[in-house]
Amino acid sequence: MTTLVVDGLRRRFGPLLVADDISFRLDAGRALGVVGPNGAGKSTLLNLISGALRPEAGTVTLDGRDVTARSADERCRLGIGRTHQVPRPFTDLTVFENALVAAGAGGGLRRTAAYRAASAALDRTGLRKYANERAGRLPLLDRKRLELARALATGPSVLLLDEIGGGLTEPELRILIDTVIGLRGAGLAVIWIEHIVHALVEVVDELLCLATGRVIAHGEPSAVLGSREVREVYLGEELEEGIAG
Amino acid sequence: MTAVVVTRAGTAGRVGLSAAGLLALLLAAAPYLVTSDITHTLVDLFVFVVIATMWNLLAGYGGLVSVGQQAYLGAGAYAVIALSVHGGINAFLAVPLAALAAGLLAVPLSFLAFRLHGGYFAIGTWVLAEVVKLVTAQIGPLGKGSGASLTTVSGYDPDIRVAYTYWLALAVAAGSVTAVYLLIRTRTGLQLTAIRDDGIAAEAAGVRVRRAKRLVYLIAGTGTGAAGAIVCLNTLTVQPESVFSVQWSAYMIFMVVVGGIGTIEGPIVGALLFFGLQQALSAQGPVYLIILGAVGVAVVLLAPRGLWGSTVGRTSISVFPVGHTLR
Repeated sequence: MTTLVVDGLRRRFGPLLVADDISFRLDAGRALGVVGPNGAGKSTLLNLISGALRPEAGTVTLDGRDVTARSADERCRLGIGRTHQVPRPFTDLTVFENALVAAGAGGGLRRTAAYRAASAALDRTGLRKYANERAGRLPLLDRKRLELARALATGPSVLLLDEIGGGLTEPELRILIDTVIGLRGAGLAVIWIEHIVHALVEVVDELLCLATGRVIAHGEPSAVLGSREVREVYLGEELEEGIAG
Repeated sequence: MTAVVVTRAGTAGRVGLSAAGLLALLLAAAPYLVTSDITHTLVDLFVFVVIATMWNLLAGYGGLVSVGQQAYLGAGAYAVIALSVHGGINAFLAVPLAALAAGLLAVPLSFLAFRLHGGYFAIGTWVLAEVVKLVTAQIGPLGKGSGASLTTVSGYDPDIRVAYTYWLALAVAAGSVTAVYLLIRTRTGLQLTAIRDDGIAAEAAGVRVRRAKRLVYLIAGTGTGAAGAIVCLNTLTVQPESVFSVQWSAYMIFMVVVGGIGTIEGPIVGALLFFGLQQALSAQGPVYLIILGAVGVAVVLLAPRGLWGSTVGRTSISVFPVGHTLR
C-alpha cells in the first residue's frame, strides 16, 4: 500500500510565503483534489512533492521513506509521477519516444517492456494515432495529454496532475474523468489540481483548498465546498460557477 | 492487447549504414592509391569529423555548450609527447592512451564546470581550458611556452609514417561516429535527447540528468583528446598557443551549427564543408575568413537547423537511424 505523507511543508519566494505549514496524508487508491484561487500555491505544492522545489521546512514521505532530500528524478523513479501545468514536451522526439523516455528512465524498463509501457500510456490518453509525430507539432490539448501519458509511462504509484482538464470539451473531459477514476481504481494515489470543480468532485475522495499558501479547508468535498472560508476566498463566484457548470 | 512492434531503421537507414561502412573501407585503401600529400591533408578532415562529432554530442545531445574543448585536444596532443618522447611508448600506440588521459582530465574538470549553467558554463569551460594551457606551459620537459617536437617517429619512412597516421585518424573518426551513433540509439541516448529538449521535464520523467551529462562530457573529452593526439602525430610538434587555441572551439561550433546540430550526419557534413572551404580558400588570407563568416551567417539565416537538418533531416531519411517507430 502506497501512502504519501506531507508534513509541515513550508516554502518562501522572497518575502512571499507560498507554502505555509501544509500537511496531509493520502493513501493508495484515493484521490485528493486541490483547489484555490490563482497564486494560492497549488503548483508550488505539487513542485514540493515532486522534488522540483525543495521546502525550507517539512517533509515528504513515501511509503514510510523520507524523500525530502531526494532529487526530482529520484522521486520519479520511486513512484511519484507528475504533469506540468504548462506542457513541457521533448519537442524533437516523437510522441511515442516521449513516453518511452519516461518508461525507460522513470519506470526503469528496457526494450520490449518499455515499448509496451509507453504504448499503453498512449492508448490510455488517446495519443496512439500521433505516436510517430514529433511532439513539438502537437497542439496544446494534445500536449497536455502527452504530459499525462509521460507521467503514466513512468509507472507511478502517486500521480500529480496539474490542470490537465482546462480547455477540454465536455465529452473530452468525460473521458479524462473516467481515465482518472480508472487509475485511482487501479490503486494509484492521485492529487489533482483543477479549476473545473464539477469534474474534480466526480473523481476525488477529498478536497483541499489552498489560499496564500495555507490550507484553509480539507476534507469531504461537499463539506469543503460548503465551508464559509472557502466561499470567502472565492468571493462566492468562481466556485459556484464551477459547481453549477 | 495490441501487439507492440517498434522498428529502429527503415530501408533508407540500412542503405545509408552500409554506404557509410563501404566508404570507410574505401578510404582505408587511400594510402595505396594516392600520394602521401593527399593522405596527410585528409588527416585534417578526419580530425574535423572527430571534434565536430564530439562537440555535437556535447551540445547537440547533452545541451552542454562548451567553448573549452581545446583543453582536451591540447591534453591529447601533449600526452603523446609525454608518453612517447618521455615515456618511451611507441607514438602510434600512445594515441589511445593519450585519449584516455584526456578523458581522465575531464573527470575533475567536470566537477568544476558543472557548477555553472548555460552561458556561464560556456565561459567557465573556456577559462578552464586557459588554465590547462597555462599549467602545461609551465612544465619544463614539455617545452614550456615554446612547445615540443615528436622526435620519436623520425625513424619511420615518411610515407609509412603518414600512412599509419592516416589509418589511425580514419579509425578514430569512424570509431567516434560509430560510438556516438550506438550511444544515441540506446536508452541513455534517448534520454540525452530528452535532456536537450527540456531538462526539467526529463528530470520529472525520472532521467538522471547530471549523470547523463557527465557521461557525455567524459566521452567528448576522450574523443577530442584522441583528435589532439592525431594532430600531434600529423604536425609532429605541439605548441600551447596552437593546440590549446580557442579557435578549435570556433571550428567545432561552425561545423556543427552549419552541418546540423543534434543529428549524427550534420557534423560530418559540416566537417566536409569546412575542410573544403579551408582547402580552397585558406591561401586567400582574410578573404577566407570573410567567406567562412558569410557561410555561417547564411546557413543560420536560411537553414537554421543546418545543412543536413534543414534538408534531409526533415524527411524520414537518415544515414544513422536512431528513432523508434511504433507500428
